[in-house]
Amino acid sequence: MKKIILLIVSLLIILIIVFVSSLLLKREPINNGAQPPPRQTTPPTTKQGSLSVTSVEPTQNINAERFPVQQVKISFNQTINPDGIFYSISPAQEIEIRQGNSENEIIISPSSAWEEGITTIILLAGSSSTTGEYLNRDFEYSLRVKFPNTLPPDFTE
Amino acid sequence: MDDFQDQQNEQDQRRSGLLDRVNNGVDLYRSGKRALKLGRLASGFLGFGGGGASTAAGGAAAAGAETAAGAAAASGPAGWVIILIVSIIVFLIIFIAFFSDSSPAGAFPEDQSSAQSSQSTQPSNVAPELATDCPIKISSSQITCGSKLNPISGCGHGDADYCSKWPQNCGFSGLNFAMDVSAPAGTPIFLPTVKGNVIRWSYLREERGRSEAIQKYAGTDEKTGEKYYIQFHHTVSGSGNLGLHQSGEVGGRVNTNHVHIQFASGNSEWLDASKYFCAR
Repeated sequence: MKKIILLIVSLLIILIIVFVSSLLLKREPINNGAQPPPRQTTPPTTKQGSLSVTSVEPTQNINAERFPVQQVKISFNQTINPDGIFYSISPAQEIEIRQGNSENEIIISPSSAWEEGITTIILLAGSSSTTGEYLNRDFEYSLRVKFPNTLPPDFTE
Repeated sequence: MDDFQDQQNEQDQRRSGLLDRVNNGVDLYRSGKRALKLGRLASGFLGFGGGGASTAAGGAAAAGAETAAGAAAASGPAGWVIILIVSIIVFLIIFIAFFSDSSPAGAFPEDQSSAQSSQSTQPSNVAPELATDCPIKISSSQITCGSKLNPISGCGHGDADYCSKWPQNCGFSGLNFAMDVSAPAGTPIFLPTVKGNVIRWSYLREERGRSEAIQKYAGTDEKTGEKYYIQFHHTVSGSGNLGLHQSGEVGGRVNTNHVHIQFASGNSEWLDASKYFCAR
């Protein structure tokens, strides 16, 4: 009888250990669904210098007033992954970077809305393409943001 | 003499029992040693081995296996059958644990959910055949004025008739793309979906007048990442819903008899609201 109990207890121990181990192995970094904070990491120092920006939409025009939700499409001469982009934003704001319509394009947008005024986005040298080529100098882009001029709150119609 | 014989028999029995126990113990030890080797081999194969903390699990498992195997060996073939069944169960548990995905995509974090206003209400009974979502959910509501290019009910914002009636309104940004939806005072204005996709709306600000206000929101399509901007005019001052919200939550309340909606894209372009909302 003791042997059977010993057997059952041992099996239970194995079961618990394996279950807990599998849970521990499965555990992933906690994110809580929150937006990631702005990445302003230091890019690597190795540079080959063959990645470059080919176009930006909308084209930089500091006099043009953009809506607070303006998206900025940046195209490169090589395929790009948003994870390979290092940047700084001034004034500091949370942004989202996603893949554009093509593999060479990324879209930068505010997590919520740009602050009113001039915002400058700098893609830092060292940002890399999917093939490992690096941007050899900072790329700077500025936009002026303003809420659209609209009807007064008390207008009648 | 009989007593002496009884004592000898008793001693023989004890000796025999003791020998059995020793033999059992030796068997247990040998089986355990074999199981330990197997356990170490298995833990090494699974990546538990190699030392440190990870060895602890493998070691513990091996130790457990040793005990179990020993006990199983001691219990005969039935024990090994149980071991086999349990191994299958363990394998199934690992399989389920690794390949089941328990986290729902796109779920809002708790802190955001809890920050949602008590007036938040999910849209109900939205007919799937409805071409576009409508911020006003009451059945008696109507589009009372469309855009300049898409006049509705004989009215187009910014067209000749409109501008002759209300010349002071014409010339303002976005007016030509606006739409009006009728609703009684106090009717909730729901933050809409766009092209059928749920939007994460972020309250931006209220522009307050003497008797009513404009509520402004920025939106992000949770599926595509596209950005949007929306304004609700003729709303009750202070009826905007601060914080982050999903489509279907209340974004304001009608002040008098209709809401005027202006909608824009992430390219700073006004979009024809009547083509995105309340189309039937």
